[in-house]
Amino acid sequence: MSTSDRDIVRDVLLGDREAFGHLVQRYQDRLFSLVLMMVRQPAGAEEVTQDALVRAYTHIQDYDDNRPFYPWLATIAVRLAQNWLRRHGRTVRRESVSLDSAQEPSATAAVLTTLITNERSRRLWQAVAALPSGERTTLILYYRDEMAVRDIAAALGVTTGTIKTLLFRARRHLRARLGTETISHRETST
Amino acid sequence: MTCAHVLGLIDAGPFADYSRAHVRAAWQHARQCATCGPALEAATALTTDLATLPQPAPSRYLASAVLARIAQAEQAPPASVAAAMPAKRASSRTRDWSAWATALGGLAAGLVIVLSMAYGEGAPANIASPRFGGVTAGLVMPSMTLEALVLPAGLGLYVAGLFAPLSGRSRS
Repeated sequence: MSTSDRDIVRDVLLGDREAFGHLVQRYQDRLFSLVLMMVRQPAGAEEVTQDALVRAYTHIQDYDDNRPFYPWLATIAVRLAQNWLRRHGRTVRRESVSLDSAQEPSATAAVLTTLITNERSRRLWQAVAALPSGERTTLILYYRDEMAVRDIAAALGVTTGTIKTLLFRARRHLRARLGTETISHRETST
Repeated sequence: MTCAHVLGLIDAGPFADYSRAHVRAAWQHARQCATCGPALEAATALTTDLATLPQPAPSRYLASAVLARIAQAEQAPPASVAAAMPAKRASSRTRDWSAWATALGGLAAGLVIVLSMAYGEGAPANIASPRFGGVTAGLVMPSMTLEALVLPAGLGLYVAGLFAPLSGRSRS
């Protein structure tokens, strides 16, 4: 039986640094792919993921163990990714502003898809990667990372209404791109 | 309930603030409708696909790099603190020195000014006068040449003491 996040955090707080390694192993893939979706550059994503994990360790005493660990970690990573984008001269628009923005060029999406071998997953990943940044991040946090709308809003510094609108639009965009394909897949599989 | 309502609800997904009755009615419509049925099915499939969206793996060195950085951070103060340390130490040294310089300079300058006022320019350099109540009997007033050196030196130290913390801050 795997140890709970809360137990691990308790051990870390008692001075067991090695225990934090379990949390790193548990969340590194999830965190890396979230950051990768945001910064869209593997080297940058690696750097931000490392920074987020180190920062989580050095601020572990600030973590409220009544809440799940991952949303707290993801919030750190999202903020560091936003800083990274600013540092590298990429504008981070407020999610509410980016609602009506034109879609960003997905030149780097090709780089991301090299990391995914499954053809169908790659197409879905490409479609998600081509979404505007706010929609992309929100979609990953809500569907894949199963974070609550309220937690995503807190992480991105916007209202819950904005998150719901972003999710609504993201779904519409994705359905427009993948709708037929998804339907045909389901029909053939049943 | 119309198709437009149901399609709108499908797009809004589970995060929309609809009542259970509203959602149930929409789903019932979708099951019987040739347009909404496939749309609902596609939406459900999309939700499943998104939940299982693949996670590209980072390099296999990420975990060890993180743990190494943590170990390093525990041995030394955090980078931000470490970066601030030399400046902080230099600045406190400067502050100590400047406090002494200010005190000594002020004392020296003050002493010279008081003695100058007491005796006037060109007064004999004898401070064993009754005006001092005999306490300083036997002491000799420093010569005017010495006074001329102590006054600017004292003032110089005082001014240096005032500006020293500023130069310390500008280095950091």
